[in-house]
Amino acid sequence: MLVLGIETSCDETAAAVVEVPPGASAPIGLRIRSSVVSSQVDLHARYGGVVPEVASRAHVEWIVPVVADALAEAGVGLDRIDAVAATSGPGLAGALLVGVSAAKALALVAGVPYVGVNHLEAHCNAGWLEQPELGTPLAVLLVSGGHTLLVGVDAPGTHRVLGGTVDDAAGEAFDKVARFLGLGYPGGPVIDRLARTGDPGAVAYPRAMPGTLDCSFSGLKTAVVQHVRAHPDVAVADVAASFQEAVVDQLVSKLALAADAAGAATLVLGGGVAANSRLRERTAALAAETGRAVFLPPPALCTDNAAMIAATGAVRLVADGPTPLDAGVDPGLGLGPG
Amino acid sequence: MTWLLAFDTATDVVTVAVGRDGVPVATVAVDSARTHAEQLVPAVHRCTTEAGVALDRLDAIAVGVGPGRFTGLRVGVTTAKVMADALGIPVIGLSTLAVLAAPWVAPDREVVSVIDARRREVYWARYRAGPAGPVPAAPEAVAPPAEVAAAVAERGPSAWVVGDGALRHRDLFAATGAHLADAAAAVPGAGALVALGTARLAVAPAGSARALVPVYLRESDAAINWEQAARGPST
Repeated sequence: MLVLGIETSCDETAAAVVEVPPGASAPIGLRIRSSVVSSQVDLHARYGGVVPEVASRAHVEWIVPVVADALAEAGVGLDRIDAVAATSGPGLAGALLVGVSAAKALALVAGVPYVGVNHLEAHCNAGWLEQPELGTPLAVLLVSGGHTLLVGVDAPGTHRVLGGTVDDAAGEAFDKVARFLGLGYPGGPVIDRLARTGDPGAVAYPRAMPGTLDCSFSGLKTAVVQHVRAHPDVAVADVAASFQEAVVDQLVSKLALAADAAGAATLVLGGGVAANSRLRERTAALAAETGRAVFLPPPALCTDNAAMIAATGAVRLVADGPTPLDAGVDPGLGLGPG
Repeated sequence: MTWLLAFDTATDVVTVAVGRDGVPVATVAVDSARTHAEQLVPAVHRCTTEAGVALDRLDAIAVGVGPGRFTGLRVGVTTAKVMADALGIPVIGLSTLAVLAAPWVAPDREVVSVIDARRREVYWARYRAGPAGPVPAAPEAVAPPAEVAAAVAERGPSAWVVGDGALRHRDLFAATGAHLADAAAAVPGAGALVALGTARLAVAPAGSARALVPVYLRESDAAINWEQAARGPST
């Protein structure tokens, strides 16, 4: 069975074709036939963050060529597609509507089921696409510009939320601090790069909510702003390194607690911030210290992509059946039990 | 025989029509304030089923490209371009203001189309009768309703005013002396969508599905707001 997936929840217009074994009830044994991502990062750079209206307009311009490329790279026509899946939440309302409208239109033309997919559930499933041998239970740290979640996965295709941010997402903190320091957008890669030349112990920024499974980053951002204003001569590389260390410390200490809570055999990272080199290093070290396996997916599977949407759509189609064509989008959708 | 699927989502009403040789054979209109994405594809399915036409028999798709509600426009334009590309047929972008004016223009009558743009503004344009539908006499624009009413007053009592913007600002436009059309003329009609779409298909090569975008007429408010916020304190 071939599933076409579409992802437009934020600032990537993406489409992918995934080949699924018949009746697959878990995201295992799937083959990615194509995965096309058109990033709008350059469009949003001048604003220092994703502007919803700008993102929505760009999705309308890119959706047709991105879907066409995904089908062409997979070497199939729409007549070979057995289901069309799209992210229906969470995300930016206007952006989600473009992908969902496109998926419904394609499902109608092809005469196949449409499946609305939870973006967060798809991130939790992404690891299986690259590494089907992951030892369960998993402790997944999903960390991006829009989300910071700790999830326990007892078996492929299931999930339970263990904790998450109470305010900003970790990636949002990177963007805001980078903007304040005049480093440009997106903040993650530039701070990661600059931090390599700085001293992570130069400034003791706070680690919020110790001992709990929840995270907080808004106080950290304020601490950086106040500290730099009070010490205008501080080396920017030291600020970047110390800020990054405070974020990574908090994330890794929460992941350690989550791993214990989940009885995890394997630690898994997901989301755009999972590309951060220090987070990858420290997560691998945590796994080694605690005798667990670790899976750090390649950045293409960590960041928003449509292969994970197609894979999750395939699993949901088997479990729940098609989504009605009169279903809408849910910008505030959470990751419920499943 | 030419089969045309046409729809408009620029206002609070989703209008869908299937036309055969320029005449509507099935129409669906759904009052759907903020739920265009929920309503449109099921309405297209109902309409084509009622018309008894398989999607692969369609010769073209016509869609209202606005101006109007941004979210509705994106649902309509995305659906039209994705369907047209998948079916390998042309897509025709129609001005929603022209669709509103089409049933009412006449040789001795100009029609002013007015769509509510929220935030105390309206989208508007002025049309006179042409050989194949309304011809713009003034370009599409966004303006405060009082400014549009002043322009209408200049045309005198022979002008007609149509569209949901005219109803929203009824008192202002009634005072111009122009003829104020009723609720039936407030939203894009199925007959006008089919007639204009078919006429355009006959005279001009339809555009590529990839190039079709909504007519927003307004800069991204979010981008403007963001820039204003960025100038403030960055804590």
